[in-house]
Amino acid sequence: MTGAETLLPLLAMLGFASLVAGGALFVGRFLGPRNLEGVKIQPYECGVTVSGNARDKVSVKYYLIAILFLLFDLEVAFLLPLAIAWDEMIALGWITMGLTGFFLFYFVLSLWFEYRSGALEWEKS
Amino acid sequence: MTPLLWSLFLVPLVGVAVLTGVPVILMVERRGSAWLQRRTGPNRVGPFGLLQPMADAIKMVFKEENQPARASKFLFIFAPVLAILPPIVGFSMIPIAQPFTINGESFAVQIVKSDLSFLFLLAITSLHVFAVLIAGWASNNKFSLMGALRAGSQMISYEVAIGLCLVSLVVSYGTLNLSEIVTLQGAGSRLAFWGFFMQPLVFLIMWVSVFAECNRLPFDLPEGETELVAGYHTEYSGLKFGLFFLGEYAAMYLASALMATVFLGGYNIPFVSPDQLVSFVEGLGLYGDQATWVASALSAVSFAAKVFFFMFVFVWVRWTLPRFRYDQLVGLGWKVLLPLATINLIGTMIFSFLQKGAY
Repeated sequence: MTGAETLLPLLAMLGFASLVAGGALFVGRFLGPRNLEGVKIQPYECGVTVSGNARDKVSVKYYLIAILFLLFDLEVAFLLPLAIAWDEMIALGWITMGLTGFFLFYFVLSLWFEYRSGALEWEKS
Repeated sequence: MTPLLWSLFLVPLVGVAVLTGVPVILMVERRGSAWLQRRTGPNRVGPFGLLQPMADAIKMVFKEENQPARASKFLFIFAPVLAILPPIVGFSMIPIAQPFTINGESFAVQIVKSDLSFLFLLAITSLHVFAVLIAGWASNNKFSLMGALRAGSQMISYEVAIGLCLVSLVVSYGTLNLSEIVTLQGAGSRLAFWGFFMQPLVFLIMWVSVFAECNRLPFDLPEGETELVAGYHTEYSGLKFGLFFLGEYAAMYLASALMATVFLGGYNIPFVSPDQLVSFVEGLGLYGDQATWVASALSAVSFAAKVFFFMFVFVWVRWTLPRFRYDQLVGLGWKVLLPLATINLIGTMIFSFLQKGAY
């Protein structure tokens, strides 16, 4: 299995999907009516007069979730190479289990800490 | 025919199959929801209303495409394109049927034969969140932005649980190659039956997470109609909306195909190994290469049946369960699924060590 045999079909699939998307945009641009004016091109707010800009401050909770995701996904990314080489690693014996246990201990500890500190609560009661 | 040519030939075949699958599940969903709610459902267009999705598509093509004055123009047009790319490209990783032979040479029915296909598939599908976020931001509409923010944090919340499930699965399968994973689940191989029985907890966590990743009920908060009009695609109309719609349903197909591949034995027919299937077809009077072709087609039917099982459950759940509240949704992801996945991972590692390790 050469690199080209993996990459070319993947690019072809990407090309197919882009063709579908581009075709839809192209067809939609020319077949439908195009009469964009007045109140139609205002942001939709249930028929009430538009007030203010949508790009305002948003709740800090969303950022918190994103930061938590980064932390945990990084740890998952660290675990993945270990999992792929798992069969060779456990042939080494207890040392693998010790090191993995050390890592997972910190993983669980951090999860527990975040649970207790209320970082995982969406609504603090 | 070389393997490369065959893969390139499969590209439009698989792509068109996915795109035609969307109207099918759409019809199943509309008639199925009607059936579950004791209504009739659309039954006017064509026999039993079967042409309704076609009528919808034609209507959608001839609709005006709205573009709000305050929207970011490039990103507004780019977001629907980004919504359709990941689910279709992801299908290139899925092994669809068992390999067949031409003049003794074996051909796998999988577009990209990579050792990292499982990882790559998850990487591709996680790009879907960008389409949603960009659409919400570019629309410059309050409903869109709220929907996009909700969708973004919902998708990444469940991504972590899926990642840990992936690690557990790799420990027990020993490979990231999806076609090897399917072979392992075949009769006569190491597992001899569906992976579901090896990792039932991972199956459950993955299934729940898949509902959240696809923004399906009971987790459809990004577009909860009663609160957010239509969520991140409020400002989209015509074929741009159509692309979001297509992308969403194609993502459901991809998720179902992944679940079927990893947990329900992919294209394997239960208790029948690929070789047994070929000899069964030979018993019907076909020989050599032709027998492998028919066996391959039969295994593809088995795979399609498993995918449609998951698709039907998507529809079934939608009309059975009410929507979650947002804090319940985030709580479920971080406080239930993530610890469960961690415990399962630790358990899997200890079990595997006791079974195979040197101690």
